[in-house]
Amino acid sequence: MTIATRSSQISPLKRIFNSPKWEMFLASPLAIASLVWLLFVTFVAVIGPIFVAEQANHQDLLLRFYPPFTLDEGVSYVLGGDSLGRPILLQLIVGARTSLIIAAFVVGMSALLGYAIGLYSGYFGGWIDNILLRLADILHTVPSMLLALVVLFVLDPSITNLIVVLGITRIPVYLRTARAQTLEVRERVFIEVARAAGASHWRIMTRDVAPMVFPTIRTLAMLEVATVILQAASLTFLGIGLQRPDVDWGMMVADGREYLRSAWFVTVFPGIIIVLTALAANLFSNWLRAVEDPAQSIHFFSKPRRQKAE
Amino acid sequence: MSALLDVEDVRIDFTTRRGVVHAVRGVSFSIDQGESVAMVGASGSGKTVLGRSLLGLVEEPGEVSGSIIFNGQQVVGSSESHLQPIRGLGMAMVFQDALDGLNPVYSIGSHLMEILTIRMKKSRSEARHEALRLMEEVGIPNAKSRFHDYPHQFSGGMRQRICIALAIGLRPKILIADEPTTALDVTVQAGILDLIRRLQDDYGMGLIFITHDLAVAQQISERVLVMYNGEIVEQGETREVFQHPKHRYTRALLASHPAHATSWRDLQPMPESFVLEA
Repeated sequence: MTIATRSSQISPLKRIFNSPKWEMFLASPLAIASLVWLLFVTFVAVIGPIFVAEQANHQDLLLRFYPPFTLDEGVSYVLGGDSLGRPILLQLIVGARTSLIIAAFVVGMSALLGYAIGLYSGYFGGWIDNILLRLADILHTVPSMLLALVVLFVLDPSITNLIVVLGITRIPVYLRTARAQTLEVRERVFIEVARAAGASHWRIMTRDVAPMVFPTIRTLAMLEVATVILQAASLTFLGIGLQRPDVDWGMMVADGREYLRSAWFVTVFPGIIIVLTALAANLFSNWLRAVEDPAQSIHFFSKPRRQKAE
Repeated sequence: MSALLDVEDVRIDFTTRRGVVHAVRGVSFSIDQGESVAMVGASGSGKTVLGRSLLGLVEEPGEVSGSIIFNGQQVVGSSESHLQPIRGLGMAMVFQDALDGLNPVYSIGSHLMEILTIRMKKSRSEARHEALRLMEEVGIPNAKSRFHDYPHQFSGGMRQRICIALAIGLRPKILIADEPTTALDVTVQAGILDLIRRLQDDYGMGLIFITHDLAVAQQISERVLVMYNGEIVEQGETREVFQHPKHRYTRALLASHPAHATSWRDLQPMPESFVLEA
């Protein structure tokens, strides 16, 4: 029987390449470009620092603000040198790891907690919902930077503390979104159909409501990657985020701000990398969202028409 | 001997900030295995909420009192875990809004498979066979090739057919159909009615058919309950009620229905006094 063979006998890799999603992926240049960029950055972040960590922190005051796009000082200085004569390219590579670790853990932690709490709160409602929502309000009212400042000032400014503080302050974003959407989905007819068929509340929440809310949370999380990198950068700029010799992209942007007039490249290159990474994350998540929604994915098969968006 | 479903003096109240709404005010009826009963009434007469209460689906701030005994088991005030075997397996329900009755993120096949594996404890391969059989049973052509389709690829009528398949797949003793054809156009309606009637015969189910359409009620039921303002004002054999209505509301209802008029002069508007506040 065709249905039986479909899921069991073909290898998982083949299934990916035979699936309509792969076809839709190939049909979308933006999705390809974004994924390639994200994979590239991740690859560099994982492998790169193993080889260049030493040289990246090598200071050479003679190469202070060394201009970019010349190979006279070797490939390391192709993007120029920073205020202490460190090679910007290598700093970017080492910073990639820190930035991605911070972004991944902060976004992962806050998204997971916000999603779970929002679902629960929205689905069951009642006094628990009220308390959780007020807590989220409080978190939202206190400027997250201020909170992070105080906490990091009292504790050590280590990467772990940075991740925990930023992670907690970003929870309300997901919580509100997940809750709002849960409230809407909860009232739909198929929920009642499931109830009438004898499904428990827990089952309905996890199997029927959660997958309806998930794509929004995923898109939001990808958008948050950029926000988090920048927030970590701001904390670093204020001197209570990362401490040298640790480095991330945000710190590099912050470092160069004083010299923006004389040495633009110190700020601009890490800036471009942040923007590109955030953009790729957004574009890819948008594509994923469109594909996962069966009603929308049909547009990837139909010929694209250049029409004004509604 | 007591009936399969025995409803005694059921009242359903909704407490709101602006006072208590008495949606159902003391309704009693009973249904035996294999019997088909139509519940007719204007919108707002309480028929839908009554249907829901049979499965314990009336949510806060609604409150049900009285007694609903299904197969010797009390529904009113029962806990979730006591209701679970009644829901779906004892009495299954088909809802009005067929277009939104299926979760858009799951395929048609997985809807059926889920219910069959979890509620009927079938193995995956058994469930697959049964799901395909059910799809054919409710009149989905090419069931096999449509198994992996998603709800949005189905028309409204086909979605309602799948909802019916989900309901009868659990082999309930009673099928509660809450205006299952209201969201569909007339030609599709006839097909769905035929299907429900045929399935009722084949499966020997009791049927509670909630509708505001008198013609539909007449077609599908042996017995009819006429609801008005939260009460059953008249009940009896369908033919008897339609030919010799006793309550003046039933008479007014029939007089205002085109199917019972030979010319437009015979049509009588519903008297003001019966019109419910919307």
